[in-house]
Amino acid sequence: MFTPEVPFLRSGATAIPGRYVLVFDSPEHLDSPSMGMRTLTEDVPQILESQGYGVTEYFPRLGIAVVSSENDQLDEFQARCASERMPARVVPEMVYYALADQPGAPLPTAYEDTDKFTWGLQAVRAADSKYTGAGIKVAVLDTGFDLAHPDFAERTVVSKSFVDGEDAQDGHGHGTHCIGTSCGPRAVADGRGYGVASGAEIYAGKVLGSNGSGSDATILAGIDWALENECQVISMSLGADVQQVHPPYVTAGRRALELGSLIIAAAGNNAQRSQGNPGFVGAPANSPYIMAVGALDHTLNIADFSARTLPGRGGQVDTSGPGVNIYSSWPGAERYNTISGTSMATPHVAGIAALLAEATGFRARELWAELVQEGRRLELFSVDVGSGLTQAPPPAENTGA
Amino acid sequence: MNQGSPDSVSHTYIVTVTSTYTAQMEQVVSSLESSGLRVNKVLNTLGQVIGHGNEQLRGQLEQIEGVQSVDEDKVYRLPSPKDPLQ
Repeated sequence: MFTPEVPFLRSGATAIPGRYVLVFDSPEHLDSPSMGMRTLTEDVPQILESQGYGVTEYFPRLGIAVVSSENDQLDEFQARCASERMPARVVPEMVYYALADQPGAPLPTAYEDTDKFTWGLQAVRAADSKYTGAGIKVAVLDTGFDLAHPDFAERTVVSKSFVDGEDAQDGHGHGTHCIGTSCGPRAVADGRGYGVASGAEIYAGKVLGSNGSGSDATILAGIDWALENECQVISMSLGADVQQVHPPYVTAGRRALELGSLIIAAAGNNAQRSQGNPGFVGAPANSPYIMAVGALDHTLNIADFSARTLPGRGGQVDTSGPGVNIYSSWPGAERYNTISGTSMATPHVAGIAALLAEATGFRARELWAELVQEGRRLELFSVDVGSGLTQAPPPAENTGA
Repeated sequence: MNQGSPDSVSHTYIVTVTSTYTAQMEQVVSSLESSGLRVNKVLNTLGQVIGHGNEQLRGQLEQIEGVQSVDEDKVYRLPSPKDPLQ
């Protein structure tokens, strides 16, 4: 007995009794030579006719036919296709209506920290994601990391310092905060969860000294190290307020993509929007192969300090993340701190990149595209927020199993 | 800012090697050294060399076969840890 594929019955559209769509294609048979153009123009119409179907509604370029059919006729058709090893799917023809009210509850437009989660974790939908970035290596190039932080006692942390005379221990706080957001825990015994990719492998590269300063020489050495270690995501919450694209980062960004990695950098905090100054994306985020991240507040508005797209190739704000009043880990007895900046938005996006990399297997340019495509669109200017609020991968489609 | 005469001041340079030469980094590095670059670090995965020398050196390095660009090392600075805006 023919049973139409279950997901189609679950959708809002209505099936037409006795009408079916036959799809001559299958994702598993993408490379199969049997589904070439000749098959679609010659073999498929033959099968259709010999199984008693008309071909007036067969579209060879699509490999799709719409037919009227009895159930047993469909069974025979499917048996025939199976015997000829021809991938074919059968789904009911549906009636569609002009789009009016969209299904699904509207998403919140404001978030607050709760006892369980930071507002950022909720806004990017990482709080309840089944993906954790497991199997993904995330490099955070910053002021190092508090290697004794109790929230990370069970985690794999690889650390290295590129700053002369300093070990990888964070003597500033910035790096520990960024690692907390990108890779910290989602559940903490006495407080709220704050980390997006709580299952990712952490690579803490110290490229800025405990005084908060570093140079290309240390930052590029950190990128080189992250690539050597095959980190799929490289998060850099650092930059300078210069408009000129700095050539070493054009090469570094491009070579990272070629090697299966994606560099994500802070757009910069040089705006004072309330004073009429929208700022500009600084280096290295303004490099064409480096993703630039803007900062949003808890009402999903652009942060006052978040830099606007710089005209010219690579100067775009590509996407955005939570970046105002972000609670995360901090070194020493303080243990936690709440601060703001595109530096805090960047690790949200880097964490989401790890979740998407885990969920889809995409790397480099494809991962970039996925981050942008999955972003939650906001009613704000794209020059400020790019593709909008970064989002965790949606749950896998229910296939009726 | 750097002080003193251009000749005496040491500048740190980032030398980016052309993609077609990154497989022969050692050769490029030795050409850079022969021209007077004092090499601090070779980034083999990125295909970049970090070194230092005087201001005139930059123009000479740019002429070397396999060199794509020569850029001055830029400094990046975070606000103090006490600053609420990072």
